[in-house]
Parts: sequence; structure tokens; C-alpha cells
Amino acid sequence: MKNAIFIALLSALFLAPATGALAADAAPAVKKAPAPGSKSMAEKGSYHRLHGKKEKLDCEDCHETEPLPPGTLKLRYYKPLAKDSPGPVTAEACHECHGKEQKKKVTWYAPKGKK
Amino acid sequence: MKFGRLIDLKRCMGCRSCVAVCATENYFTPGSPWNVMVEYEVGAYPKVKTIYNPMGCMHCEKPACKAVCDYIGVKAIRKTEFGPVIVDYDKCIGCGYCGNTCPYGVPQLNGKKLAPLSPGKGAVGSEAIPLAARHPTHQKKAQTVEKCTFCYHKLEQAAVDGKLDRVGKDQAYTPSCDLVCPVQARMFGDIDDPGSDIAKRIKETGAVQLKKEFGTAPQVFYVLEEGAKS
Repeated sequence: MKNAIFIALLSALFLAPATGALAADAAPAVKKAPAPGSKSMAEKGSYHRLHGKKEKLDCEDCHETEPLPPGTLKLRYYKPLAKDSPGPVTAEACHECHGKEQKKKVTWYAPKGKK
Repeated sequence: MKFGRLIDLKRCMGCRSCVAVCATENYFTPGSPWNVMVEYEVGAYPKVKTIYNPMGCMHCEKPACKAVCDYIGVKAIRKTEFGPVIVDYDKCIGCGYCGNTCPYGVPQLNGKKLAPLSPGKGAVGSEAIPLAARHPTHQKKAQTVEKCTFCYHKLEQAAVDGKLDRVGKDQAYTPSCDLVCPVQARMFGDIDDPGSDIAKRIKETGAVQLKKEFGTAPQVFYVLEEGAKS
């Protein structure tokens, strides 16, 4: 009986995360839709919570310290930044970690299984 | 059938007619443009030149904006049958994820109040049409995202009239920016049909998509001037 419980615990500890990872690769979890009129991403600081606090990245890892150069192929590059903003973030900075060749790839750039 | 656009940077002279006509056709909110002219210089003195690169939505085959919108469960962005990527203003919650994720920074969060296109000068262009009578892509709401639609109201009309073969040829069925270019630097049409004018010109000129490394497969092609960024 004790052996059975021990095996069950081992399975829960080691096998579940492994199968979970496989499941996550196959179909990314869809989160619940935020309520209409809820705070914007910038207001909530979701990206900062994830990248700054959880992943412990420095500001400079994502934010450019200089204004974007002329000719940056980004529709909003000329937009003034919010007060006290540490600098603009380009999608290229995200792509360094989240590109299709990277370990932490995300589903919105080059979905898995497709070229 | 899949509509796409070709922009020839070798011909573009930066006049911004395409930007102006988009503003009136789609009365985009000031500060949240649907079409902009990115301008920069290349080369070294004395051999310098200015590159004019008109930018709007690339209407990607695998749009990153849609992927992230679906991921957070909002599902306000859809890829339509003929190619345009369209935002549903009723579903959009204004979170801004799409704008940050788009490699081209295209989706524009329009602010807490919709500003008129020409303040103090009355309604301009489509603004003069009563809200309820406008095409859904023109029934804008504050605190939502807006962007180029490939003039979806015109493409939809072409489908209703059974004139999809006239898209890119007739004024009523062709995006306004592609109509007004005085130097024919823009072309719109069916990029799926190898016999179409646009498909032939893409092939002849070796036109490319910008920022291909993101893998979003844009449906806007550029003929690059020497030294231009891609």
C-alpha cells in the first residue's frame, strides 16, 4: 500500500509536469477574456510583472535607452513616450527571446509546426 | 483569391497622397494613423538619398496581433476570406497587446475620446456619414484599436456586387491609397493568381516582404530602393 502511494506521489511530481509541457506545446492554454473596459496592459503593468519581477530582466534588456533612429520600420515609432518611460520597446527586442528559433518562442510569431 | 499590395520604393517620392486620402476615406483618429510615411536617409556624402517607405497594416497571413488577441481570449481580430485583417470594435477591450506584438507596430490604440480629423472645421470625408450608416470598420469607438483595413468596405462591396475581378482596377473596389498615387508606386490585386498584374510585377521586380524573420507572412510587398531597410 505504501509503495503504491509512493509511486503515485512520484508520478504526480515528475510525470505530470512533463505531460503538462507536452500539452502546452500541442495547444497553448487560452486565458479567460478580460472584462471590457478593464485597465490597459500598460496600466496593469502585466509585461513588467512578468519580465521584471518574475523573470528578473533589467529595464535595458527590453527598453531602448536611445530614441528609435529615423527610418525605424514601425508605424508608431514617432509617438511620444509616456512620462518617465525608460525608453521604447521594439518587437525586435521581444523577438530576441521569443523568436521561432528561440527557446521561449511564443505562438504569435511563426506558429509551431508552420514555416 | 487573396488580395495584396505592392509598393515600389524606387518610384515613391514621399508626397503623402496615400496618407491624406486614407485619412479622409477612413477618417482615422488623429494620433492613431492607419498609414504613415517613414522617411530616412541612406548612403554617405556626397552620395546620399532619401528613402520614402509608406507603411500601413501588412495584413499578415499569420497575424501576430490576432494570435495574441486570441491567446488572451478576446478574439477581436479576424483574418477575412480575401486577406484583410479586421478589428471588431465591439469586442476590442483596448488592452494594447496587439500593438505591442505586431512587428510593425501597426494597431493603434485610439485614446479615451475620439477626436475629429480636422478640429473646428466640421466633418471631413466619411465623418460626414451618420455613425449607424457607416460600414462597421468605420463605426469606431474610443479606447479600442484601429488600423488599415485594406479598405475592406470597398472589397466587401465588390463581393456583394460580384465584381471581385475588378478589385485593383475600378475606383469603387480598390483601396483609396492605391488609387491616388501620382507615380503609380502602388498596386493592389490578387496575389494568388500568377496571371494577375500584381503577381507578375512582384515576380519581375523581386519585391520582398518587410521583417520576414518574424514569420508572419505579410501580404504587402515592397520593391526596395538600394540601401533601403527590409
